[in-house]
Amino acid sequence: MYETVVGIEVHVELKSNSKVFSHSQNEYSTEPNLYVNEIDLGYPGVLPVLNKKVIEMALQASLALNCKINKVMHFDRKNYFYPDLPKGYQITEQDTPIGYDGYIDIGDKKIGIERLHIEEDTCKSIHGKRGTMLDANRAGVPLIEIVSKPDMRSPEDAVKYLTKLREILLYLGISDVKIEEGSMRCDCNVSIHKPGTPLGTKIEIKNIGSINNVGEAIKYEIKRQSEILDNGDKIEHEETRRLDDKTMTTILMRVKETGNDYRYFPEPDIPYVELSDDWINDVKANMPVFADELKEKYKNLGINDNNIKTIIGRLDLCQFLESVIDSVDPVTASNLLTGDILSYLNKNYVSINKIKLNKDNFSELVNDITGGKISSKQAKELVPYLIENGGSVKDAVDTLGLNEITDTNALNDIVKRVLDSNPESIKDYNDGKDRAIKYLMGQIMKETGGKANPAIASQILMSLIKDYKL
Amino acid sequence: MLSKEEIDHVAELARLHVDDSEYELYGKQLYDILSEIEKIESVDVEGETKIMISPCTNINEYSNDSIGPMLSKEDILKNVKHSNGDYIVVPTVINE
Repeated sequence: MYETVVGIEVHVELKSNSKVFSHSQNEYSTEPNLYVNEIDLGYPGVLPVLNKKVIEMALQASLALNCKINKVMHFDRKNYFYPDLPKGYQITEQDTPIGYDGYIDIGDKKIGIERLHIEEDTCKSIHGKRGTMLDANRAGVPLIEIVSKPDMRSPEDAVKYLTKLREILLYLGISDVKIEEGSMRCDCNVSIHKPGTPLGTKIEIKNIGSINNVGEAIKYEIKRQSEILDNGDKIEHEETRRLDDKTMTTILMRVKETGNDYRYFPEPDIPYVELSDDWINDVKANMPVFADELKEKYKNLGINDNNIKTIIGRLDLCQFLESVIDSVDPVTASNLLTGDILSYLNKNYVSINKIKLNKDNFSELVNDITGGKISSKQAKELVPYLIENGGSVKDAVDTLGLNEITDTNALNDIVKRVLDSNPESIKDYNDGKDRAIKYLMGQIMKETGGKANPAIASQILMSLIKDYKL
Repeated sequence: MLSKEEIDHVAELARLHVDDSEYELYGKQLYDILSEIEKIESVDVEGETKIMISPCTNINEYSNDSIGPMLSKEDILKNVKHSNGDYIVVPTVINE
């Protein structure tokens, strides 16, 4: 049998306000060439100025991935002719990646991180018959490239690695990490060999559209490469292939030529970047809490595993829960969030920050439920109302006519009235027929338009029915 | 001197055409440049923590993640040879 060796390169777009070397807005737009200035277009005489925020985001990522830090960095020019790069070179960190020699713990083992470096994204190009069309909105968007060590041995390892990496970057809040939208891009290197023999020839699979498809692409490559070797043939050349997600097979893009000739040299326009210990410690001190810590915390608070999984998978829900967790019952809050609220968000493709249910009315709602002021049935009516209209729970209860009758005197009168007009049921109750109580409760609810507090009403009913003289 | 193949390779990377009459000139110029680089490479920098990579010793200045003026699409497209709608158009390149 063959042993599989997988290494993965991931490019992640950082969500700073401005681009990495210019003041242009860093924003996705379907309108081409909207967020562009002279630096992004590589006009003669322009100078790149490094965005401090990008350094800090890359530093956060390096620390989160347990990397060592290059405290003195410089940038390099990677020279190549391609129209997606108007300058004729990409500014990157070839010699001094900000982070190196880190790892990600995927549960049963650690996957090494070779390096993490900062670079600029290129123009988006659309190839047509009459020419290649360029959109420079993406030119100069900050990227971090994260290169793993060839430590993965199976498609499962690769999927675990990418899932974990994505979760870490998501919780750092430095990227949207959406593979479907291109803010996270994965290239895999796959080779197979017989244990004890030298490593096999590497095949690169580029730009795979989802984490699961990375697993599928590797599965297919193992099968394809095994068949070649089983036939007594050799994998002669390194190749670049892509996954065809209809057939779940990989298709040859090009045979790699011997070593790309990028003629790297230090970028003379950007002086040394020195990361002082104070700066690094400052970034460390402001690191957000990670998913693993939150999972542990939620477990200790008694939130069930399903809810934890759902909440951790949606950063907006998780951050929302975090913002209220100290002032509400966490279990009730998590049930509400993962129930009707999440259904609404999914159905309408919105984030929880974009709806009118907010920290204040959500906390009020949870506390009213745990305090017995609002029944779960009423909450079901209140949630969609608050999402659409906002405002306080108290006002919503009034508007929706959900006021519960908790006044014992008022309920006393109502229960008496119900008993007076239902002598049959009292007789049934005295004969030991339990369903009489159910019926009478129903009558009380009917009388009050469903507003009687069920707990109080049933208590009054039980005490009155015992002494009722027919 | 550099071989004809080496000169062709460098010219290809820079998308330059070299006439037969120019090989000797470029061969000598490139050789001179490489000789200078060899001299630099021969400097003993063992134990030196700060190797100069930048022609200046200035401390880096950063920008503060603020958004500044951008170009109008009219201005962008004024400077390009061909455009299509809001896109800049360049000769077709086949990547795959």
